[in-house]
Amino acid sequence: MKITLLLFLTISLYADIKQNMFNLYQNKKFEDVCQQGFDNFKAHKQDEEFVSLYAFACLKSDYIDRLAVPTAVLKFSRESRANSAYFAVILMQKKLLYHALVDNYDLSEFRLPTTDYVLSRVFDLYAKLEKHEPRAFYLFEDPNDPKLTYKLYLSRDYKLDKIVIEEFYDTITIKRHVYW
Amino acid sequence: MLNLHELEQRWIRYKIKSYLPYIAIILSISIILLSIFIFLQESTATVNKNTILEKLTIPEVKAIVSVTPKKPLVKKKTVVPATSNKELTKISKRERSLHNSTNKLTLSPSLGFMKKMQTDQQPYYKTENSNESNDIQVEVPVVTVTHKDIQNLQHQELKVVKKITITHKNTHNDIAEIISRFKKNNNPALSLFVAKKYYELGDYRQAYNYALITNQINRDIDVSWIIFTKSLVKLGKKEKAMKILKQYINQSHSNQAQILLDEIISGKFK
Repeated sequence: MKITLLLFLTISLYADIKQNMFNLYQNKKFEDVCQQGFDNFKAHKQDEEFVSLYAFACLKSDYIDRLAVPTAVLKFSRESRANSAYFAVILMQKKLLYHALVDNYDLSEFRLPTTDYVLSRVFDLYAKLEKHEPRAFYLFEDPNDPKLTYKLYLSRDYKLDKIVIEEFYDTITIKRHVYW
Repeated sequence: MLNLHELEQRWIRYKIKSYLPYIAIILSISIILLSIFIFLQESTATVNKNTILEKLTIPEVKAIVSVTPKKPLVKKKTVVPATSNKELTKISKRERSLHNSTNKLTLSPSLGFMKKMQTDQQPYYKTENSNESNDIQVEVPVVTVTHKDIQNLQHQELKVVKKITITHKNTHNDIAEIISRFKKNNNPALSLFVAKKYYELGDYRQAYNYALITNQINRDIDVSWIIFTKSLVKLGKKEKAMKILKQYINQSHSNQAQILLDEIISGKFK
């Protein structure tokens, strides 16, 4: 009796976390979802829906490094593999862009796939530049929407340099993304 | 006296039997000959095909040779044909890949799992609804029975009856009560609740009205827009619903709205 009760409780808790995360995701509380997913990842890493939800929430809240584990875990369904490749590209582009901005590494030789994510768009625009001297900031115009511009720069910290991407629409800041 | 007729018949049978082995031999020989003939014809056909292929490949070889400068034609005729086609395809593939390299491959996220999660999600009001539909059918006999002979009924049955009637009253009282509360404080959460309720009950006109009111109070509630457009579709205004959804997606980048739009376009949601 006790065992069945315990089992029932664990099952309901398991379903509860996932459902709660999904509700939060729908309410655009991506950071909370990412944090909840991070805290409960070990117990749910076999559930690809959970892992995908966690990964997308982390992506939307700019926690790109947290995509590494979902990228490795997602492999059993076609959809998961597509998402895994998607996350892998974004993670790689972030790492390359960071390397390029901090160490002036040349990206113009690369021909990589891209995504619809803002980091990928900025990466593509940056990679189009020839080898150059490092600048204080870069301003890129979106090729599809001339009103949309991206400002890319490194925010120097005493501990760690961080990539900052600011999205402007008609000179108004829409979003600010920070990656490190 | 001799029976001539019978003798003649026996003689005919004897004759036929004597010819049988010859007939069998002739038949078998003809079959063998026929099969040999067919086999030979097939082999000649394959030879012809090869010769045709050779004829066909020769001009291609010439064409390739004419492009490559000043090389003798004579020896290449026998060696090149098989590889020439491959080379040509390789060249075209390379060209294609060069062309493709200019257009970048874009990966897009696959959000089908969210759709699945959404369908798996327990609808908040559906259980109540199912009870309601049962109530309407059960209510009349229940009332008569309770009035006639309550004492004869078992306690368990009474409990069940009470439960059913309570849920029925709740659903209707809920809406009326919430509408009155909404009129007092104009809280969008209440109007959204009413819109949801009406949608669940199939009163799409009222659902549309309350979702519209909710949108006017707060434009950023995803669910409200979704009920609003769903009601529009149910009211037969599919085009208008799609137009509104597109505008909302452009503004909010809502995944839920995108999923609904896809469903409307594909005809899954009617």
